[in-house]
Amino acid sequence: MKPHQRITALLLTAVLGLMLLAPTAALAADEPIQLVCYSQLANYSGKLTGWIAKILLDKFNVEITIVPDLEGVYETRMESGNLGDLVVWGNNGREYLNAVQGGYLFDWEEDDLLYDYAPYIAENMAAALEQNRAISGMDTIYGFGHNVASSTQDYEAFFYTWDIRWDLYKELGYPEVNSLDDLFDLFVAMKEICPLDENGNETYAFSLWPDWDGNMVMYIKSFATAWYGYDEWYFGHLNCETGEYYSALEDGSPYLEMVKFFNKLYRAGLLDPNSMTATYDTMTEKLRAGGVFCSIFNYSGSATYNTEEHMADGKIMLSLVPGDARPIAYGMSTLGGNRIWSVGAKSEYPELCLEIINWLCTPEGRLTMDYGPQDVCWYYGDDGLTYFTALGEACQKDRKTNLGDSQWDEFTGGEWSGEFNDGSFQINNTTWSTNATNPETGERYNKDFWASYQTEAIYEIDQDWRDWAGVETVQDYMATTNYVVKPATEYADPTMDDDLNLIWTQVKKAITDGTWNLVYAKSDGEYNYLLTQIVKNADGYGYETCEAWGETEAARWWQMVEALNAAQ
Amino acid sequence: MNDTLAQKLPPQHRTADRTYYLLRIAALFAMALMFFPDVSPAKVTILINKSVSLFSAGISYSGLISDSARPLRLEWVQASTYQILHYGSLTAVLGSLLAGACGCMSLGSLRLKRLGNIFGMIGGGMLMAGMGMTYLAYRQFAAIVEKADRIAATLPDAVYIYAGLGLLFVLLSVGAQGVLPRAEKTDRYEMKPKYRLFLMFLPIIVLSFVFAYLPLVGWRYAFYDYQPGGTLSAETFAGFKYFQMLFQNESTRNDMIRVLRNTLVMSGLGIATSWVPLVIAILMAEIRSRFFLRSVQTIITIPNFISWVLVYAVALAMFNTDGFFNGFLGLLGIQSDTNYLMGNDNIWLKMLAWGMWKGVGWSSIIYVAAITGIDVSLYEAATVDGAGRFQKMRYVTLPGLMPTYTVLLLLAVAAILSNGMDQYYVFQNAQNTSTIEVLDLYVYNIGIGEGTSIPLSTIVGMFKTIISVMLLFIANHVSKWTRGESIV
Amino acid sequence: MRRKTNELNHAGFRRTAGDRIFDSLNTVFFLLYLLLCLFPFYYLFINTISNNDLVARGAINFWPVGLTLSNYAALKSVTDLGTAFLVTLGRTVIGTATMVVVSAFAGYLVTKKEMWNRKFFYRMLVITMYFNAGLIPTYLNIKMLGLTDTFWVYIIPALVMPFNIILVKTYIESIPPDLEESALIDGAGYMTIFSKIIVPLSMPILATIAIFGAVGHWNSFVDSLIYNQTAIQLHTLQHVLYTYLNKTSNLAAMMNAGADATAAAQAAQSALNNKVIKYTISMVTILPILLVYPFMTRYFQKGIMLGAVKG
Repeated sequence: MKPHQRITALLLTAVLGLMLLAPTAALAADEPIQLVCYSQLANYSGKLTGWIAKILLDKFNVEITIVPDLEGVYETRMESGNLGDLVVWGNNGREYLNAVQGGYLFDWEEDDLLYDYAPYIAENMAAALEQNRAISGMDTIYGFGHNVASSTQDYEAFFYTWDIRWDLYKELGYPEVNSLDDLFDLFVAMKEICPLDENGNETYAFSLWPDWDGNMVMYIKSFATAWYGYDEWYFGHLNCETGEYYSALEDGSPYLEMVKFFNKLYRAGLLDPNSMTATYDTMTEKLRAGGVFCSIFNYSGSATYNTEEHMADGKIMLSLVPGDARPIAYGMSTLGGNRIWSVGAKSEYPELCLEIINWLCTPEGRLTMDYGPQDVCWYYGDDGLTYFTALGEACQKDRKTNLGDSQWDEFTGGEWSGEFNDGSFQINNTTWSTNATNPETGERYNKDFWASYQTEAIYEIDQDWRDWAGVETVQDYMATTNYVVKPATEYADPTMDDDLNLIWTQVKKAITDGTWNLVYAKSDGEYNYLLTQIVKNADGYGYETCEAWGETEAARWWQMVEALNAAQ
Repeated sequence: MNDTLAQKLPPQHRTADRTYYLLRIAALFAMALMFFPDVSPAKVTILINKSVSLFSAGISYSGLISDSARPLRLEWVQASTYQILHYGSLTAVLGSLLAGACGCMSLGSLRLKRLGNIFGMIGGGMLMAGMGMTYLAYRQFAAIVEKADRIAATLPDAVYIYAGLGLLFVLLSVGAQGVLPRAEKTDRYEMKPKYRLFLMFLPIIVLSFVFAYLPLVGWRYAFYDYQPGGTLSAETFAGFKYFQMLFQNESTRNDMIRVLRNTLVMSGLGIATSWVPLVIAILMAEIRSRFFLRSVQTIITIPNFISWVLVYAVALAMFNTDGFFNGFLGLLGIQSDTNYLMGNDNIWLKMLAWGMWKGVGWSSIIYVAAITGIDVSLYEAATVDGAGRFQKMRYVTLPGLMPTYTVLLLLAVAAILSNGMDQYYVFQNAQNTSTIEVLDLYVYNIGIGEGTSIPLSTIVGMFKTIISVMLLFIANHVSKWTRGESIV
Repeated sequence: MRRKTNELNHAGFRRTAGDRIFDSLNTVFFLLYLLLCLFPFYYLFINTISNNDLVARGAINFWPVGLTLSNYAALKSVTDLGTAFLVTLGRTVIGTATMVVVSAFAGYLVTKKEMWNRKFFYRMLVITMYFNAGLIPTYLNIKMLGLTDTFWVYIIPALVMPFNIILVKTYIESIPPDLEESALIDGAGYMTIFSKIIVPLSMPILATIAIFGAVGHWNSFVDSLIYNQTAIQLHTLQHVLYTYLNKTSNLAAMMNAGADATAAAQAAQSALNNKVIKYTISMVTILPILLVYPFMTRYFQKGIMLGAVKG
């Protein structure tokens, strides 16, 4: 080939190569519409599958792809300017406000689309919509928050369930437990009668894990909440009944009291010494092997420990709330929480997005989201209450139940397939709170409160607890204790600027690291020394600024509570 | 070689050469400019995403319409306008490329130069045509009345710049063509070796520029109060505010010193043990059985593939109070219930041990390859001279590996501030944090990472790059000074 | 039958007593080293094939109990695993092949001292290894180039790897220059010398960078995550497996804002097998590498240089 031909050929190849880079995009007329949902709460990546996909396809002719918020996803999506079609926010703080101010979210009132395509929301969630208008600061509605209550009198299901090893408690003869000291003695006694776990290793009252630490050591601050009924509030706790703020490092603060308690447990050999290096997984191992006696949460207690094996063996973990403890319940608000449903500004089909969100707010949609398709997994009985079908119940017990199995044909009509788990609603946000009232039935959306879904005790030990507690469910039992309700207000976390943020993260690390060291102190002398250290370190980074912040915010919150009380 | 090239060039060539300097610079300018979205001539409406440059508009139609899906569907704008814009941009891009080709060909012989001039003329013309099409698209956008505020048609200044460049190319090429003499039959298409090599290497330079140098424009974020999706404007300009933030109070300063100390120690230990993979490779070469050698080669790379999270899970199982190690000691009769992962002693050595366990096998691959590359005749000569096994290792193998070793050492020295984060993240806890926290982990821990503060993370990145490059050249000079040859 | 010996070994036919001692020590050393490398892998492996209940209790330490392959079978239910596998395989093959060709060629060109401004360009290339522009600028750059949501984003940015080019350059510089010179005298051009002489002689280093490149492509996750967010059919194997891993547990996220007790209990149930899933995934991604790698080791052989100088 002649050189000039060679050169021209080279250039042509380069041009062709460049054209290969261009992706093609063409949608046939009757293919389902593809929507992208960027959800900061999702853990799933990819297209929605299973029964939920079938429902969405049949109803809206739509296929939804979920993009979870893994590292770098938020930044890159904001920079590219296109957040997606549906956008679900983890909180209404800085990230959400940036998107609002940058114009990346769709104005729901544009061309009256809200009223045309989402009438149910417009009618029934007006308070939540107005709240969104207020916090967005642009006099526009961009969406609404999660866990919307149907009325302000309700509160959420109890979260801190105080699970202990009921079989050991029974063996000890149900000693009365009121104060922290009583609790301590109970654990000492439990360890005496049960010194080793199933692997032959030592047992402990608690086993902690550092990977979920936030502003303070997670378990210790939660313990303070579970005991006093004070909610976590920046670096410290908030008294929900008086609005007082207890800074984490002040003398006699709830946080430090609990740190002292855990140190006492450690010195008595009742705290798993591996806690400092543990991960959530290793903690679950210990729990499963019967090495842990107590947990304030159900997921790190009864939910993991109560296997068929253990229960058949007479071992179980169930609730026991010490007399002096005041578990907290979170009041529900008609204003919605901080996890916002919104639509992207550059979306091609905002009308469709609004329609979908609207459907999720209807009672049918709300129940379908959690429990499966209507009339396949659940239905409204003639008495106007909610019932599970046999298939629905099976799915709740075992999420791997396959809807395509022939034994369920009478419910599915042979049209549904896939495991129940595969079809779950991976966006992970709620519209109405699960404890809100379903206007169609008067019952809550939460199946634990349905008249038709109370379960019988299968195992003796379970029945034993029910007899002792005098009620059938954990929630009922918790309702008999001296609980505190934290009133829901329109309070939203304000954004911190970079300066404060930097101080905050440094103080955070000083406090969490210092707390762990305090818990592991071997003597009073060491404890006191470490206490002065933690205060000194935190102050060095600017703890005072953080404390002042907590105070101002607590005052602001209290004002909102008082305004709410005055209005009623 | 060829006589035409070696001869002194006649005066016309010299004039042409001056023209070519200008043309090459202009071509470089045009080609570089087409990658910058800020000065894209294709940005005729705000419906086009801000990250679309002339290059993107030319090669990707879908990229051009990505933000306009709804306006197109509701027919506020016409797809045909976008297509005109797209093909116009494509023409402009190709035009710039042809001008670049002209610049490249001007490095060659007369024949090449003359052919190059033709490309230059065509390229300039295409560039101007492309800008014409862009202007046409602009007029179409500007003519839309309904939703005009949503469309906001503007004609970027860059259109005039490109049109001007196009004109320049045409004029220069024509001029050069006119000035140069006609080629004779015996003239050939050829180029001096030095330029030929350069042109062969050019695609690699271009790729490196496009993927590694262009993103450095992002360093400007360090000087603004920047949030994701935000703007860079006079209001958000922050000057050196963020540079000072890291040193604002004494605790932070102490932290930085501590963290840098940890980083340097860990990297230093790594460098001090960098000879280990080399020795392992030499020992591997001495294994007699080929089967055993293959097994060793494969198995020692396994630790490299186990992620640090899993390594930590295994470490927990081994060194917990209920772990094997304590169990093993128990079997020997020693009562022990310490958790070896807590505690602040010897963290550096422990981390070094884990790091070596994981990395040495993988690093030894390079040295095994290098050993294979040593000339066999050197070994034969050594045998003839009566060298024994160990002397061969010392006088043939080792020197043969030195070039590779010194290069890797140099690169490691330059990378002294980057230890990676994964290993230290999984092993850190409240008690060892003062010695285990290296720079990368510190950045992550106090949230200077991307997620919280873009200016701060940019500053850290800038700092690391500058220090690394400086160290690279310093170490290079030291090598030139001591060993007499530079490595880079 | 004489066992095949390692050609790299230079002990010669007659072994002295010192040689024997050295050989045995060498063998012992490597056996211990192998044990050290293998044990953690073995630990992870037995946990994946044992009864999940025992694994959840942390009871499996030295040998498997209650053999079961259910964890591997469960991977069948991972959505899009097949597609992800093909995508990853494709990118590994194409990406590695192209990268090796580019690196070899670039490494060769850089050794030619007569290149115009060789040192300057080489240095410009090398310092890019230390560049750290940040996530957003890199992302915007890729987006600007039109590579987001395409397959080519895996291949093109990975073509020029300065580290590999340095390795090739260093290796080529150790090849005796008389080989090239004699070819030049015979009138061969750069390309001919490159393909006929340099490449065959550089097989060991090319195999090395091929291994590095292939492993990098096989294990890649971040580029799939950041650049191909909506093009799920282009997700790599690691990305899909990571999604599968996370699908079964969202406890930590739920915890951070007063999640519902019942939801938390449900999440805890599904999180129980999380640990073993992590191990299984690790096995699944490591195994192909271990199967392919021994085939690459055959490039680390002597005998290629023999006769080259004389020819």
